[in-house]
Amino acid sequence: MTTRRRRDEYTPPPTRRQQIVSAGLAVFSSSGFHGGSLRDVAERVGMSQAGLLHHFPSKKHLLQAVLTWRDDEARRQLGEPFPDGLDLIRRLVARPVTPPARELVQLHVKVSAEGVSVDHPIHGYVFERHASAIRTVSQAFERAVADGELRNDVDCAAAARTLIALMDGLQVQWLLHPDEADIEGDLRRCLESLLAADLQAPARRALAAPRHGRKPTER
Amino acid sequence: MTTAAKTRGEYAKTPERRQQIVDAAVEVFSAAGYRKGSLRDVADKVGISQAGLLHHFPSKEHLLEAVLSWRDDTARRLIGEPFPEGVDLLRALVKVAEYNASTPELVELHVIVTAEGTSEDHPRRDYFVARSAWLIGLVRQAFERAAAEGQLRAEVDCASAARTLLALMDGLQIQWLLNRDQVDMAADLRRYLQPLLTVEL
Repeated sequence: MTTRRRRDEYTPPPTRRQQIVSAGLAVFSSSGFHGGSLRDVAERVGMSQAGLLHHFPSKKHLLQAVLTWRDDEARRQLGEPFPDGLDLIRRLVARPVTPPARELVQLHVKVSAEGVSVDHPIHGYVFERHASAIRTVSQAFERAVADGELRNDVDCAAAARTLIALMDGLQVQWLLHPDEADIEGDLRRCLESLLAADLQAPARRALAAPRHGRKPTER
Repeated sequence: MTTAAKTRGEYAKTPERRQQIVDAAVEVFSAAGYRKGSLRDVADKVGISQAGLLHHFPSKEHLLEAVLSWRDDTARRLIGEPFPEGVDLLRALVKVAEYNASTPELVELHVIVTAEGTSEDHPRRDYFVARSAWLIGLVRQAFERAAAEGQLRAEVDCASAARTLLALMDGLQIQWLLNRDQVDMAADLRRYLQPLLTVEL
């Protein structure tokens, strides 16, 4: 892709901060927040813990930076302007989950799990992220109903909960059985049954220009 | 109790001792949750030393796995053995989700410990892979049986439906833990299952 190459040529080397976020992603995705240590992160980027604390005053701050990066990246993947209605649903369903994304999936699974505890430092983030994901998807379903793309007896809030729950659960399965999983197929079949709608055909169009996740250091 | 058993004391590797430890662990982790529950609390409850406990369960991971197995056994008793087949098994799984709503701490423990088990370097990863594969196979058979009895819509892909039902159960646990007042796990499972069936769930 030409635009990509030209960009890379002129992209400045990753900043220290970006390197740390990237190392944080590696550490938190393998050990979770509780098990991951700033010491491991510092070692990965070859700096002292004091040096790291200069950039991120605490483990929580670093995890938040990693999650912010992850969320921005996910939003970028869905395209600009942010899709609405069934278009958003199709893009969510067709989002590629490939082995290079393993770290991100692992991070999501661990952070969501740890964060369910009310006394966990990032409980607020996990709570808000789930609520906002369900809200966004629920509004997309409502829009699709308003546009006549979906039957008007669809329970939009319940369908949104189901889609988000299914995505969470299928990611765990994918981590355990990467060769047997079919996340896209399972999501599509479930939604088509739940919504009594066809999600397949236009999804190909939406997929014309897939964008894969980049690591912070690749910017 | 014979003298021999007494001298072996807390190191006696009897099934009874093991069971006592698991029972205590269920109580400790149900009350304190995953992070705050400690091996020390479990040892205290049983009245043995931490070294004695480590003799039976070499790490917190091993003990937590035993707690999850205990939870699976409870679910198995709830379902009833031999397992019902076809749509009856699906109904039983919805009942398990209903029952789970009465044990939030164990649901939380399940969610966290399972997430940890997905790591490629987790010492007990095999256990989690095998457990998940077994469940998917079991539910797939239930869908296939339902299909053979004409209780499943013709277009349903049994393998996909099995993965989906189990993934939904897992994902809904997270949502329920985050929002207990607003999420009804069993109702959402029924809403997914009913359109797949030609009979009332």
